[in-house]
Amino acid sequence: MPDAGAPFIRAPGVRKTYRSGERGVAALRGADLEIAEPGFYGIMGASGSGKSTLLYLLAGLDRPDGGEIEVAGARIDRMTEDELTLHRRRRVGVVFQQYNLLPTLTALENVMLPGVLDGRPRAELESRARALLGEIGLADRTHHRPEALSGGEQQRVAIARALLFEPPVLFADEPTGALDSANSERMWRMLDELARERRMVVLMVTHEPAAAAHCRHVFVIRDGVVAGGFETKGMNASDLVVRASGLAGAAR
Amino acid sequence: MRATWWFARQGLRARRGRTALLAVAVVLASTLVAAVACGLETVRGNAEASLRRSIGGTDARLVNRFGAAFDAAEAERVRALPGVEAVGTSLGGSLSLVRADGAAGEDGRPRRTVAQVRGLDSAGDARFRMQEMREGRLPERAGEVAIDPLTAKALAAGTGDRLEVQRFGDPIALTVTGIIDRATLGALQRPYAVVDRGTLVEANGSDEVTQVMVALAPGTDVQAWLRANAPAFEEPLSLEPSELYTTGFDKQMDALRLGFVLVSSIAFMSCAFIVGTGMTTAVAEQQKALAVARCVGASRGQVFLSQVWAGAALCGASGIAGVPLGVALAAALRWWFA
Repeated sequence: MPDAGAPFIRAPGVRKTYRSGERGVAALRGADLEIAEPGFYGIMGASGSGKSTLLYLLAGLDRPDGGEIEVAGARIDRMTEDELTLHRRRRVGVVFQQYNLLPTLTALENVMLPGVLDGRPRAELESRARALLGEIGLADRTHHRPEALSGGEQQRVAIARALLFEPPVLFADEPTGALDSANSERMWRMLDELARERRMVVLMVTHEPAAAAHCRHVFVIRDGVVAGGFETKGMNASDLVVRASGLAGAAR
Repeated sequence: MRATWWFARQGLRARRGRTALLAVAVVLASTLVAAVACGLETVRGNAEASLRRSIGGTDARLVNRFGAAFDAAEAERVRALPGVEAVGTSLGGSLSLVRADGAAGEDGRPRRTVAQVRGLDSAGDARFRMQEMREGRLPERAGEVAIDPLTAKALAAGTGDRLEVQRFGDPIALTVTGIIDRATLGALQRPYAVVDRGTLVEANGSDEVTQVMVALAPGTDVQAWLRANAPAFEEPLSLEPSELYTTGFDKQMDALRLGFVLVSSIAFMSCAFIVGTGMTTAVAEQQKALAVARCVGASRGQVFLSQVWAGAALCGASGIAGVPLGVALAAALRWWFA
């Protein structure tokens, strides 16, 4: 948890340009984002708008060219490589669209991985990993490798891995992009419950209005800047599309 | 450390087929390197030993410029010079040899021959031997003789037979210790034998030598040593480099050693290339897995170390297994071609 009163995420003026030879592509042009309360949040935007780039920068998977990034009370844009590695390991969790489990490890070992890298005692890790897998309904799949699990099960294992150190912030990059609608619905509910029960921030990048409808608050990003945000209470997917499109249009 | 080793083991264990293939490749590569190294060292050792047997392994010699014998006490003067590791002497002469049992030849007369004889006093030291033996050994003490095939034929003698030196006075009894390997060149070739120098001195009645052979301490600059010490000996004595240097055989041996190192290195690098390619492919295949590990908190060092562990474990175990196989292969080939 961040210090009392400190925001979970604060990222003013974040800039990122990807270079390809002489050419530079500005992915973020001064994006501002702040999340002070725990809950399930969404980032929406068209393809290439910069939403995944922003998520990767907030998760410490990449470094910004400019601006500040404070996550869980730590200025990650100022961290050294080693500090950032420890931050990724202990202070945040990341879930990807393609699950990104290690195919050579079982479900249990995948969940234990960040703890193993941290040098934690094996017995303690195994007990914690088993408990997490039990919580997400995979107690009987602990010794299965990813290839023997369905897409939904793999994504749940990835979530359990992200929760091993009980981070205050969980980032999810289109976590249901490879799932069917029933599994997607289950996943969104699970993320919402996690945020509420654990008093943590779950920040999800999505382009699906149905996914965003589960969020407490949605940020809309367009052409590398956060165009705005709105509470989703009482909105259905159609209302949400209209509201998000309005914000995206206003940003032009 | 434990985490990276665990990560490395998981990677190796999960790709059993690839791990087994790489292990086999490393074993074969290691076997090849060991076999090539053993084979080349055997060839080099044989060539060097052969050269040393034919021209000797000494660095310098003291001779009379006109080929005459000189006082054996000069050998002690040479031995006292700085940098001298060992000294051997030889004396040339001729002896009249007969069979001790008086056995007669086809003409009914006792078998007898006059042989050119070389008297050595350090036959035990390989550097001074300069003889290939067909069988047996060179004489190492008084009362022993090694004879060439011509002498053996003339006396109908072989290893273990007893001969006598005929001279004015009591004959000197000799036991044949071996047959010298000497090519038969023609009718003008004279019988040849090697005895202990003391035997020749006893037969001639004077303690002389015709050559003092010098082995210098390893690393000594032979030419500099000769320049420094040659003035100590007066004409007609001459301190000069041995055949090893004057014929360039020392360079030939150096070239053989260099060739051995080069070929072994090339074999090693070829094998390292095979292993390196295998490991690089393995790392490329795991690129996504390694990136995921970085995302969930593995440091660069941990990812790097895990790959080093995997490579070291695989190459270490397989490489060690290949060495005895390579030695065995070299031994088998040697046996086959022998």
